[in-house]
This record gives sequence, C-alpha cells and structure tokens, in this order.
Amino acid sequence: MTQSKSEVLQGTLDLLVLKTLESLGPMHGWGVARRIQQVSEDALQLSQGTIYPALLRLEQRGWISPECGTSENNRKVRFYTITKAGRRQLREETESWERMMAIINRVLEGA
Amino acid sequence: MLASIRAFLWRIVHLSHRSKSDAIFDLELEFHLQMEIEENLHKGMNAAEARRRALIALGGFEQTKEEYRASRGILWLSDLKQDLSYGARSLNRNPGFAVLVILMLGAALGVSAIMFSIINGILLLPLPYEDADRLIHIYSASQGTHGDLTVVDYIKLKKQCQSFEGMAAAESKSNVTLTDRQLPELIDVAAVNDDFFRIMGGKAVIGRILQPEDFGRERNDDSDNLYSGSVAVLGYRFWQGRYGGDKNLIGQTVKMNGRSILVVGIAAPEFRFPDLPDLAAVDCWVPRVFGESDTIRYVTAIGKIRGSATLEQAQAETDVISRGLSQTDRNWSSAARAIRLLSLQESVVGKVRPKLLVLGGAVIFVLLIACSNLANLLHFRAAGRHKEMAVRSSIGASRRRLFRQLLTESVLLSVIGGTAGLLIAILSKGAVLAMAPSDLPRAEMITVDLRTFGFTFLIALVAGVLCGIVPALRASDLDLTTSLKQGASDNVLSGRRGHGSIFIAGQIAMALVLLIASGLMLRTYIRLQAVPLNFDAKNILIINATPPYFKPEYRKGGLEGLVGYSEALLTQIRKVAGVECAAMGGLPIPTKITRFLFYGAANIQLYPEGQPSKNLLFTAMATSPEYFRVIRAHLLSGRLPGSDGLPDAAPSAVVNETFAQKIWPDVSPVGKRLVLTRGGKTESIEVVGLVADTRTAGLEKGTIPVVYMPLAHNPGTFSGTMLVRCTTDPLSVVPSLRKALIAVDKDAALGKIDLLEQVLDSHYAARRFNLFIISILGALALFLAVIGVFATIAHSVSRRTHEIGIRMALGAQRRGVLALIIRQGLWMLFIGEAIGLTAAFALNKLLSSMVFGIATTDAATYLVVSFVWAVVAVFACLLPALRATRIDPLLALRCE
Repeated sequence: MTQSKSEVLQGTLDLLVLKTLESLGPMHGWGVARRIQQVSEDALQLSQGTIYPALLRLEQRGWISPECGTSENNRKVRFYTITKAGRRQLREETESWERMMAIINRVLEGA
Repeated sequence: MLASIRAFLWRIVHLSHRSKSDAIFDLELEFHLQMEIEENLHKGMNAAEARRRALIALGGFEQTKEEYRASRGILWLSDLKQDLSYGARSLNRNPGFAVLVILMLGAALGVSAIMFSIINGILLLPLPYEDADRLIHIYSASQGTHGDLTVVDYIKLKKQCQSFEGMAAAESKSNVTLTDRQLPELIDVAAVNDDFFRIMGGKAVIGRILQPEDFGRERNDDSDNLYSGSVAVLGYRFWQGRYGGDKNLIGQTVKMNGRSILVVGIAAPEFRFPDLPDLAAVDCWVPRVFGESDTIRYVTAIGKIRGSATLEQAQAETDVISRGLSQTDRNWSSAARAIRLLSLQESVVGKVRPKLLVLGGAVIFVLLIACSNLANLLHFRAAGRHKEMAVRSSIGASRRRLFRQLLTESVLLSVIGGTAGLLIAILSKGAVLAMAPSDLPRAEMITVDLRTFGFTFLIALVAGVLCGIVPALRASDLDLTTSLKQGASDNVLSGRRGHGSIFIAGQIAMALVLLIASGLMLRTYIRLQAVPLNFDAKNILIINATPPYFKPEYRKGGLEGLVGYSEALLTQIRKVAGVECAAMGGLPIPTKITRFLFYGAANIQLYPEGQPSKNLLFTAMATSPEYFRVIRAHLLSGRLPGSDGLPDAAPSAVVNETFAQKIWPDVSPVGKRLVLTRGGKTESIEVVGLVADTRTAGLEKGTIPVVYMPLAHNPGTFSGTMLVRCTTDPLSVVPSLRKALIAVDKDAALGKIDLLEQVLDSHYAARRFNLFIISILGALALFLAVIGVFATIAHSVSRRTHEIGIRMALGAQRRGVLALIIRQGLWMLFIGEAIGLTAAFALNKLLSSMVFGIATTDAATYLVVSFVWAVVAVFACLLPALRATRIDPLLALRCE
C-alpha cells in the first residue's frame, strides 16, 4: 500500500528537498523534483507529485518560505527559499544521518 | 515538537485561505506539467506522447491534488464535514432504517433524560440554602420516624454541644387567626429563634428580617400564644396572595390571634422550605425566645456544623451529652436519649433514594436493550454495504478513512436520536410531574436543564461510538478483490453466526425482568383499588371548624363551648345553598397534613361492659349525628343515631366491624353496652349500630377498631374537623360558607380547604406513579426487544437465502424451512427467558417496598408474563420466517 511507503520516505524526502534548496538557492517545485531525480540518477522511483506535499510540509514547519516569482521561461510560479530554521534542521538531520551510517558501518565491519 | 506545533498553527491560520491556495497550487501544478512536457518535446516525443509521459512522471494529477489538499487543511475537520454529509446522504437512501433507529434511540434516550432530570433534581442538586452541606437535621428517633425535638432538649443541646456553630429552631403553628382589613383567615405561623434567619440564609426582599432586638424577654403567659415580640416577617407567596404584593404593608399592624403584630418585612421568594413538612406551608415568621419551661412543645431543629467538625464527631458529642444529662437531670426525657443527627439533604431525600435508584436501574435496562439493538442493526446494515465499501476503497479510500466514515454515521444517528430524546423529555416533563405523588421531595427541582442536555448527549455519543465500532471495523475490513467478484456471499462479513443471538437473548432477558416488574406493579395497583372504602368521598369539603380559640369565651368555655360552637356552625352551614348535609367527625381516610386542633380531656376510659381489663387499642371518634350520612357509611346492622331526625335520648354509640369482631366475636354488637368513665363519673352507652370499616389507618395498613361516639354527649375528644357534602362543585360553595362562619362569630376565619376526594387520591398517588413509570419502561423494553428479535431473524433469513434455496431445491418442504428458522428464534427465546426469570428472582427484593398485596416473587405473575412474552417473541420470529418459506429456490440459487 502506498501509504506505508510514503511514511518511510517522508523524512528522507524532506531532507533531500532542503539540501537541494540549500545548494541551488531559491527554486520552484519542478526544479527541485528534476534535481532530485538527476542527482539520484533515477534511482528513486517516486512520482514527482510527492514533492508538493513535502514542500507544503516544510512550509508549514517554517523550514522553507514560498514567494511568487517568474521562471526562466517567463511563467509565473512559486519559488521556495530555505530559511534559517531550515538550515539548522538540515544540519541536524545530516549529522544524525551520518551518525547512523557510521554505526551501521561499524556493525557491518565488525560482524 | 516545536515544528509540529508550528505546522498545526499554520493550518489553522490558513483555513480561511483555502480557495486562494488552491488556485495557487493549481498554477504550480500546471507549471510543473508544462515544464515536463517541454522537456519531453525536447527529447523528441510528439505532443501526445510528451503529455502522457509527463502525466505518468507526475504520478497522477488528481491524486497529487488530493494529497496536497489532504496535507493542507485540518484534516479531521474537513474530513468530518465530508463524512457527515456522506453519512447523511447514505441514511437518506435508507430512510426506513434511519427513522427506526432514531425512534428507538429517541425513546430510550428520552426516558433516560427524564430519569436523569428526576434523579438530578431530587438527589444530586444541593439544597437551595446557604452552606447547605453544613446543615444538619437534629431530631428524636425514639418514635421510629423523624420526630421533632422537644424545646427542652433543644435548649440543653444548644448550650452544650460544641460541634455546632449555631442552631435554628422553629415551632410551627396552624390555625392562627389573622385579622386585618380583609376577611379573617387562618394562617400557618412559625415561631423561630434568633439564629434561624441567619442559619437558613433568610433575606428580606422588602423591609427587614428579624433582628436580635425583636427577641425581647417579654413572654405571654398564655400557653397557646407563641410570641416573644410583636413583629412578624411575612412569607413572599402569602404576601402576594393575600395582599397582592402591596408594598405599603410594611409598617402596618395586623392582629394575629387577637394580638397586635407589626409587619416589618417580606421574606425573599426563595426563603421557603417545601421539603420540611412542618415548615412547608408557613405564611409568616415571628420571633420567639424558647425557654426551659416550655415543656411539651416541639421544634424543628437544624444545626449548622462547624467547618472543622464532621457529622460523626457531632453525633458522638450529642450522644455523650444526652447520656450525661439523662443521669443528672430527671427532666431529660427518654426521647432525648435517641437524638440523631442527619444531614439535611439526607433527611429530605433519604427515604426516596432507594426507589429512585430502582427506577434508574430499570431505565438502564431499557438503554442497554436499545444500544444492543443499535449495534445489531448497524451490523446488519454494514453487512449489506460491502460492495459500496469495496468501490470506495478501490478509488483510494484508506481503511482508516472508511472506518471513520462508518463510525461518524453511527454517531450521527445516535446524536440525532439524543436530540429526539431530549425533545421527548421536554414535552413529557409536565405529564410526569403531574403523575408524581404530592409528597415527592424536591419535586420542583426537576427540570430539563443543561446538565440533562449534557448527560443525554454524552450517552448518545458513547452509545454511537461503542455500538458502531465493531460494525465499522468489520465493514472496512475487506479483501478488495473478493468483494468485487460476483458470487461472494454475505457470509464474508457476518462472522460467527452466534454472536448476534447472544445480544438478543440478553435483550429478551432484560425485557422480561421489566415486564415482570410491570406486572407486579399492575397487580399492586389493582389490589389497592380493590381495597373497600365503604364511604363515598365525592363532593365532600373538609373544613377546619375550630373557633377563634384566642378569644376568652372559647378558652374558658372548655369542651362544651367548642361543641356548642360547632353545633351552631352546623346549623348555619346546613342553610347554605349547595350543601346537602354537614357533620363533625374524623376523616374516614387519613391525611398527611394535620391542621386541626385536637382537644382531649384527661382521665377518660372507655371499655366494654363487663370487660374492664380488656387492653384494647381503638379510636374513639366524636361525631355529630349526620356524620354517617355525609360520608355515606355502610350500615351493616342496627340503626344510626339520630336517624329519625331527632337526637337520641340516651347516649348511643356505633362501632365498626373490626371493633365488633375483637370485642364480641361472631356476635352482633347491637344492644351491647360500653362503659365511659370521665372525671370520676361513669356512664353506660348502648351500641345501636354496626358500620363497615372505613380506612382510618390508611389504605394499606389494616383496619383499626373504631367507636363512633355522639358529639353532644361530649366524650372528651374533639378534632374540629367538619365534613360538608355538597350537591354541586364543592369549591363553588366556599364563599357562602365563609358568610355562614361569620354569622356565628365575626372573628371566625376559614383556613385552607381540602377536598376529601383529593385526600383519598393522594393515597393512590405513589403506587400509581410507580406503575406509570415502570409500565412505560416495560412497554418500551418490549417494543425494542421485539424489533431486535425481528431484525435478527430477518437478517439471518436474508443471509441464509442461498442455503435455503439449496434446501428447497433438494426437496425441503415449506414447513421444514419454517421450522428451521423458528428453531433459531426459539433457542434464543429459551435462553433469554431462563436468564430473565433468574434475574427477576434474584432482584426481587428491590421491589419489595413498591408492591402491595402480593409477593415480589408471585409465581402467577412470573408465569403469565413469561408466557405472554414468549408468544409475542414467537410472533416476532414468525413474520420473517414466513417470508423465508416464500423464497423461490431458483432466485435464491442464482443471486449471491
């Protein structure tokens, strides 16, 4: 069932979106989705539509803020910018990810 | 944590921006799609292909929108709205089901609401006095009932008991003649001590309440007058009634029993004591200093306990004090040794609490039956909706969502049912109160108020949730593919066949218990009605015929003066148009309120001639000759005195059956003689007649021996009660009676008038009320249980349609099918009746105070009720079973 899958991926997706916005600067939804797809080399089989609920979640939590702007092909669309709180969250999440990876690595090597 | 709170707040703030953000998001999504399409075009696809791939990549336009919207709003609020509207539409499609459930719940919740408001008003709400929880009723328990305290006991207790911060004492007096510019009236006066207004929280709405300076040392030597001062505070109702709320009354003087009294204030409307029998009818409050020389006088004593003390401590202290006093003080009456303390609330409602709780228990039964019906019906309905659930699930509804929606539906039903129930309660409150016996304490507190609303909705919610959970769980639990396939039968959802039947057996049992109780109540009431009265109460007025006793000519005149006055009064009254006949004499059935003065002379002995040692308790009633004609007594043998229109030459008595049986068993009493000794003189009195027993001891206690003595021969007791039989409506005769009274003595006043019919009716009132409530509950339980049985069997038939079709195709007869279905019902019925009979037997003691004339385990009632109920239940099974026999096997086999 799609529901349970998305629960697992929610947290990771948030992390990826924040990272993308931090690296690329203010970006619209499509751009973020495209970028994640590229970087992961199409390994993540998500429907692009799940980006939008993730963006909304991050907006509700105050980690990104939207504003209206014009895209490169002169269309009106919303751009998202990472906020200070967002940067802090990104840093914390990255650190905990890395800690987890280190632990798992140790276990794998030790076993 | 902080982040999620922020998220929640964001949602709340954005509730109002919904349509705008919808529009913005649509644009966003459109942009995304366009960008993807452009990219695809760049890759070389054609327009159609580009669009198709873009949509796939996006993952479904509508789904994305749906998910977005889901994250955006306050999920449960918007979902709730959706669920409610869906539920309402779904119920609209099955209006029969909805109406049935709402009626069912409405009836059950309605009686619950009524019962709750009764229990709330009487038992739960605190008494309406200041610091009511600290008020203690101090009484003497020696007579077995809550007797009042003698003045002497009260004074001694007050002096010595430290647990109380104060004690209020009130002595009530009826038949005080009030004389002012209007016609004189007999009123009820309460003489109170200086603490009374303070402790009972009395306030004045005009003028002032009694102050310490009103309680002077001045005392009247007259043993009959109460006053220590010469002021009075009038009760609000009395002031409105007699003086029309005239504010100028303050500062005026009126006469009470001939004594000038200054009106200093009007008490607030809420300063009344309907629950304390002696103070319930008080019209006016006067001050009194109670002294130790006031022997043989009684007060209602209410103490205010100190905040730091408990009731047990106060009772212990009281016990010690009374024990100590009885040793040192011979004046300390034996009654005082049993001084008891009881919280005022308990004193007022304690007696009625057990009965109310029994009624409450019966209501709980009805609720349980209704709830199990609800659960069953929801279950059956859910079983038939699996297709609908399957379709919704395939569109994308999660199981949780389905469950929530179904639960919302059942809660919606129960809340509507609760509203209907409250409506029923509000509409029927008047009828219930009208049936209530007049001595039901705190009856005026019974209202359908906010608490009742809250309680009813709470029960409705809980019922809706509890009854709806299991059906909702079942219905939302689907294996998608099997349900959509043709050929899957309802058996997927019905689970074990047995569990519905247990509910029904329980319902049958509970309904049986209530029906047996109703049967017992009915027989009780019939027995009560069958008690022979031997008098006719219609059109009889009960008048207080005591003269204005404060006048010296009556006080000095002794009993002869009183008798002379009443005979003069009789003569005047007989002349009044509309009066058929009138007589002095006691009431053939007792009234709970005694307003009349009893005069007795000491040293009177009455015994049958030749049997002076016979220690017989009997009532000697002084009657004027027309008494038997007024009450239409039944003469069994002999004659009535004065029947030839002239008073008898020699004193003659009449006895009732019980007396005759006790003294001269199996022999006619006519001609026997009684010996009357009074103050040294002895007289011989002949018994001239035998009458059938009236109910001088009440309806339910047995009859007591009564001797009717002629008033003119002054037997020594005089009750001042006059009975007037009228040819027309008695109340229309009252003004003329007032004039007749004044013709005899210009200061004579008419007090409160009673109709003998009402006094008689009050004896049936309590049992009638019980019958009313329990039989309504029984009928409701019957109705609900029948629905339950019918629905269960009908559902079972529809479930087994396939199976029945097979059976019939294989050669089963219609009779066989009928038997098959009915057997299931009979089994439930058997178990249910067994449980019910056992339960009724186990609980029978609860009803013991409510029955009269039969045992609570009366076998006949049990058997008849069980039989009737069984017949009804079988009929309830029969209808759906008959439908089962008409199943066309071909159709049955074809459909799923």
